[in-house]
Amino acid sequence: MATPIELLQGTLDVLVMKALSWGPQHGHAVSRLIRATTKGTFDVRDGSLYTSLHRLEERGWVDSEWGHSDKGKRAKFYVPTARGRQQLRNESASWRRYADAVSLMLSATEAPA
Amino acid sequence: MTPRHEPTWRRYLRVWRGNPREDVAEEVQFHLETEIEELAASGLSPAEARARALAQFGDVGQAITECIASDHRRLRRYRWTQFQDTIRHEVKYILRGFTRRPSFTATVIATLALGVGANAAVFSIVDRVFLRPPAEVQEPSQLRRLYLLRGSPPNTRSRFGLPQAHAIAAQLGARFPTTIYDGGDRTRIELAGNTPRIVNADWVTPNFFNVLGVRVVAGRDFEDADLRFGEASTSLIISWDFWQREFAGDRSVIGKSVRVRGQPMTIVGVAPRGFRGIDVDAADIWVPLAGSRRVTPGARAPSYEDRGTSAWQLVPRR
Repeated sequence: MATPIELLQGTLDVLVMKALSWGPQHGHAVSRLIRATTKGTFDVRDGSLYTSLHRLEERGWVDSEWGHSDKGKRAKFYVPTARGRQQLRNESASWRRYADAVSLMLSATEAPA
Repeated sequence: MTPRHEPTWRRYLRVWRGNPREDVAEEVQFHLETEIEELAASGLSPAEARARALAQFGDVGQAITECIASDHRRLRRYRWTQFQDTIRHEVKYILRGFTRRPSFTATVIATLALGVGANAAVFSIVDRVFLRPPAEVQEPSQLRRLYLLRGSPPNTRSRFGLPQAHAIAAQLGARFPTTIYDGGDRTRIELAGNTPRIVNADWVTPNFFNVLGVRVVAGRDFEDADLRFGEASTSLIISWDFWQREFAGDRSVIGKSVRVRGQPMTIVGVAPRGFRGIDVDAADIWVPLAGSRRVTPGARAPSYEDRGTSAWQLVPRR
C-alpha cells in the first residue's frame, strides 16, 4: 500500500458529510467508513475527524443526539440536516469538476494546438 | 446502527444544560474504547491495541479543546436564538391581547404615559433643585439660603420682609457677602416697536451677580448706584436666551430702552449663556429691587417700605 496522502483543508468535511449521508453514525463509524471506502488512501487522524464533526454541527450542517451503539454503549450520533444535504450536493459537484480538470491536465499527452 | 431515541424532554434538558466538556470527553472515550476493542479482537495485545488507537487519533488534548470550543459557540448562539424566539412570541401574544381589549389597552397606555410624564416633570425639578448646581454659579457649595423659622416648635420656614432682609445682610457684613432677591415674577416688558412680552423677572440687590460669582458677558454688572431706594430702578440685565430670542444676539442692545411694567429702563448687561437664576423657574431678566413689585407709573413707594411683604430670599456666601 502506498503512503497515505495528507488531506487538503476542507476536504475532510465533505468526506464526513458523505459518510453521514448513509444514515446516522457515531464518530467511530464515520472513521471506519471513510477508511474503508477510500481504501486507506488518506491519512485522517481521528482527532481531526471529531473536530470536523463538531465544526459541521456548529455550522448547522449536521445534528447530533445521544443514542446507543451496536454493543449498547452510549454514543453520540450525527445526522445531516437539510442544509447539510444541500451543501453536500454542491460540494460534490464542484469536487467532481475539480478532479476531472486536474486529471484531464495530468493525463494529456501533448499540448493542445 | 440507528440510535435508540431518548425521550424528547431529555433532549431539551440536554440543550439547556448541555455540558460540552463532559459530552466531548465521553465521545472521545467511546471512540478509543471501541477502537481498542476492535484492534484487540483482530489479534493485537492490549498494549499494542491501545498504542495503535492513540497514534491513529493524533493529539487528543487539542481535538478535545477544539470540539469543546466549537460546542460552546454553538450552544451560546442556540440559546440566544431561543431567547429571541421567546421574546418575539411573548410580544406577539401581548399585542394580540391588546387588540382584543382596546379600552383596557388605552387605559394602560394612558396610565403609563401619565406616570412617565409625572416622573419626568418631578425629576426635572429635583434635578434642578437638588442635583445640579445652577449653571455659571461659582463654588455653589459656599452659598446658603436663610429662612425664618416660625411657630413652636419652629416648623414653618418663611421668607423675609425686605427691611428685615436688609438688616440681616448688613449684620453679615463683608465677611459673608449676602444678596437679597425675589424670583420668578411674571412681568410685562415692552421692547421698542414690538408687542409686549410676559417674562420671568428676578428682583435683586445689585450684588446679586457678584455674590453668585456670575459674570455678565456684555455690558456691565449692576452697581450700588443702580439701587435707589424710594425710586424706580432704571437698569436691567437680560438673560442670554432672551438676548438671542428678542435681539438675535445684537451687541448694540446695551443701552437700549425698554419698559418694564410701564417704567422706562435701560438694558445695561447680558447674563452668561446658561445662567437662568437660582430658582426652579428660569429668569429672563434681572432688575434691582428698589423699584420692585410696586413699580407702576406714578406709584413712588417701593416695596422697601412695605413691611408686610415677606417674599425676600437671603443668600449669603460663606
